[in-house]
Amino acid sequence: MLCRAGVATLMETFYGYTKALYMYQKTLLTSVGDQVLSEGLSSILLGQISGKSNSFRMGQQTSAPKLTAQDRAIFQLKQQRDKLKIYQRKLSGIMERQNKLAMESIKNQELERARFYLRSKKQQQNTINKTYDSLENLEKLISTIEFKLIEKDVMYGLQQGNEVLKRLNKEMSVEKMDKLLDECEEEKIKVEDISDMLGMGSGLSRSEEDEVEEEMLALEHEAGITDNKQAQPKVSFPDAPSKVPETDEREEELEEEAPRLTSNNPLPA
Amino acid sequence: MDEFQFPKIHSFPPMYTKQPNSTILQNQLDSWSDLILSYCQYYKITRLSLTGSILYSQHEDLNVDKLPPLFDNTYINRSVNDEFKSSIFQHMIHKLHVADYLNSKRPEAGIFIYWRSLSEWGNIIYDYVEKTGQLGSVLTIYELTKSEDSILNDSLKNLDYELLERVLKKVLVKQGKAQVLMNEEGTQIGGVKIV
Repeated sequence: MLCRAGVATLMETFYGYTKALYMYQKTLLTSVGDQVLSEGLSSILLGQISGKSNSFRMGQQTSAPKLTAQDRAIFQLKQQRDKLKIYQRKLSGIMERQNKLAMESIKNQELERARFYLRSKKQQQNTINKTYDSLENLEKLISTIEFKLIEKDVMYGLQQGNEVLKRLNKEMSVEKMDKLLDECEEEKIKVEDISDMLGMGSGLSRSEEDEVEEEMLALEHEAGITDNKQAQPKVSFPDAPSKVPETDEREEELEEEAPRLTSNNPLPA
Repeated sequence: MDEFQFPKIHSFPPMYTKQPNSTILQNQLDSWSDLILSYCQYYKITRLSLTGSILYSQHEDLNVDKLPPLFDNTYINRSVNDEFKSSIFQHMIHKLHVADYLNSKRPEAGIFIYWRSLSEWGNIIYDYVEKTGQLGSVLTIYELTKSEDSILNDSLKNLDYELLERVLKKVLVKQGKAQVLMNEEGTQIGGVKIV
């Protein structure tokens, strides 16, 4: 009973400790989080993704997002791509018109003229096909740059994460943990000592504890548990002669095999 | 595309004359504003000249000359004169804020019709860029409104450049959500980065 009370008290103290620890971690995390956030923010403001910067720009009015050199490069490429697309559109327009003209020429029996239009149309088609290659190259370049930028971000993220982890590990050193646990242990011992001295872990006096004990015995008797307890030692008696084990085991085996034996052979007796 | 169905009030002769009574005039101006807004929304018209002719529609294959005229009604043989048109536009610009000059220094350049407010347009653009995972990357104006192979939002397809410029400058850049890049000639916005 004392022990149970002790555990309860210990649990309470321990809970207090874990709560304190949790609060401590939380403040630690938020402070670290804030720092990461502000670092990220200032790096965005300064237009640089990598590279540490301690300048603190929070509180200032955020202006428009900064454009990096990469942004401008991608923009250039995309503009070229758009130009190609517009060029293609223009050529297809011309082709359509030439097709119509060729049709009209054939209707008017101007075969040479029709041939000229068709030849010219073919030329446009070839040019369009060529522009597709350039378009593909541009698209590839754009997506490569974009992907590289993402990879760079990922690397930066990993770096940051690593730093945070390092910082956290530093804060949660083994010594500190040891000390904490030691203190916990000390508290536990103190609690045990006190409850031992007072002899009333659960807040009951000794005589009350005795009464509880009596009541419990009575209940056990009622529930028939005491009978079983007495029966158990009785069972343990036959265990003693088990020093003649082989015959017993064989008998058991025989008993198990008995049905089979009877079916195959006549009884040996 | 089916023709716009004018409301009955469009066939009501007094609508075409400026009413002397100020209360009635206010109602008349409100009715005209509503009519113009729904007409422009129906045909996706974003810009009108001061005489009411269509300067820009998002519908590429819209034959502007064949649309039923906004300020004329041949059945009742009535049309709005230019002076009254101007009053209606003034009402829309200064009272209802559903229209604005393209260039306040040159009112004759025409007016925007805001059947969708600038901030609504801004939200549409922002949502589109966010949904397609393109926040933070540079987009060209062509890519945003004209390109045939990007998954275009129907609202943005073929969007009026003049209007887009205004939305970008007056809404998204002001909110700190966008940064614009000029084109090679430095005359127009060529691209935008939305974050």
